[in-house]
Amino acid sequence: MRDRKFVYTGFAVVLISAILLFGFSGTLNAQESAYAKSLESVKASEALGPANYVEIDFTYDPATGCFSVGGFSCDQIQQLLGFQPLDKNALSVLSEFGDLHMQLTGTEASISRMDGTNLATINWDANSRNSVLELLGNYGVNLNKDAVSRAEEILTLSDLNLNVRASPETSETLHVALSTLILADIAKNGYLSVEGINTGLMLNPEVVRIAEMGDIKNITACWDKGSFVTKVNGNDLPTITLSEEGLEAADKALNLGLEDILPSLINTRIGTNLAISDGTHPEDVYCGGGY
Amino acid sequence: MLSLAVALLVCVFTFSVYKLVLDSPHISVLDANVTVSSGEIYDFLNRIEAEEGTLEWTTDGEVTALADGKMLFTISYDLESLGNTIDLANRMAVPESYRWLADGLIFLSTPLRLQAKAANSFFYDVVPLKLSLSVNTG
Repeated sequence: MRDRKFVYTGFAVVLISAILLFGFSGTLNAQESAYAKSLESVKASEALGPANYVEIDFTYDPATGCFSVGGFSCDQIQQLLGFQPLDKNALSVLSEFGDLHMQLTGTEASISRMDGTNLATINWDANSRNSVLELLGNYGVNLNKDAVSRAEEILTLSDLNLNVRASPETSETLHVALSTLILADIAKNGYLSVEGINTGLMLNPEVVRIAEMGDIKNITACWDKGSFVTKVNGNDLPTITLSEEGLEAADKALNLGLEDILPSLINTRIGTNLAISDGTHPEDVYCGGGY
Repeated sequence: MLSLAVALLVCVFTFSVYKLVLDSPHISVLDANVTVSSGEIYDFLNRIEAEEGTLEWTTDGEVTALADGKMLFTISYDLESLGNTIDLANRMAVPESYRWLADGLIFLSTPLRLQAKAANSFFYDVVPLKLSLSVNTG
């Protein structure tokens, strides 16, 4: 009898201890999962709100007219895009202004010298831009309302910068951090349009068929400074995080020829909101926040 | 009965130490090393100029690829995103005309699925395991 009482007491102690310890350890040991940590860098900018930041550095050699943009050298630009060096007239105009910094935001458009001397500033906002569009409409210049609305949505959140410098050196790498997702649509016949503009590119119809088979209506994908975050039909997929070494390895393995822009790529934020076939674009989704 | 109580107490104590003191370290269950001298993996490692490639999977939601000890990429998931991926793969793999058959099989395998789900949750949340495979070019 005494033994049985001892055993029952022992069981009760063990059971209560187990409940307390597991519960306590669950509270104390609430480690962030690797998945949650992988989203930290993506959500870091959420507190600041969505923003579109672009900085383009343009350098030109006053002696030869050769120019470099966004980290691409003069030779690369000539090979990739076929652009020739600037002619004497263009060089003459640029040399008159000196080194310039141009900035375009939702409230201001300004041009200043790199030493800080302000040359011109236009203060504007959504209302003033709307007034200009109405005025243009009165004179028969009617712009597509959806396109205007979309441009306004992007501009309100934007901080676009262009630096123009007289220097024979290669320009700084492009800095792109876009919170607004680029809208893209793939039609049933496979044609791709971006921001409502038909690109003329046609995907393999098999791609559309596979997407339809998987009942995929929309995909939102965000590349945020090394992290690739994707949602399909609003459902999260695993996050892929690449290091700079990983990007270099991918470049070597696949022979992409991206070694010059890798430092820029690892610091870029850009994403797409893709609708497939008869799918729609989810709203209030941003790259790097509200995601 | 007394010995059972003592055994349970020891288990609770050990698990508490594992969780609270040691901070739930990954338990390595597989650590394999393979040497290759030809083939696609060998060619891939040569292209990225690495002598050793490693793939590590920890059941608390991380798959990491390393080359010569440097992290190349990491795939991070939680149970929800993993489930979404499996669901998506299932929909893409099975033609719509055979979806009814797949749905039926999934329904019939419910006990197995629940067991797999419980095991998955246990190794994700409670006792994370680690599996590692290293490939050397020799």
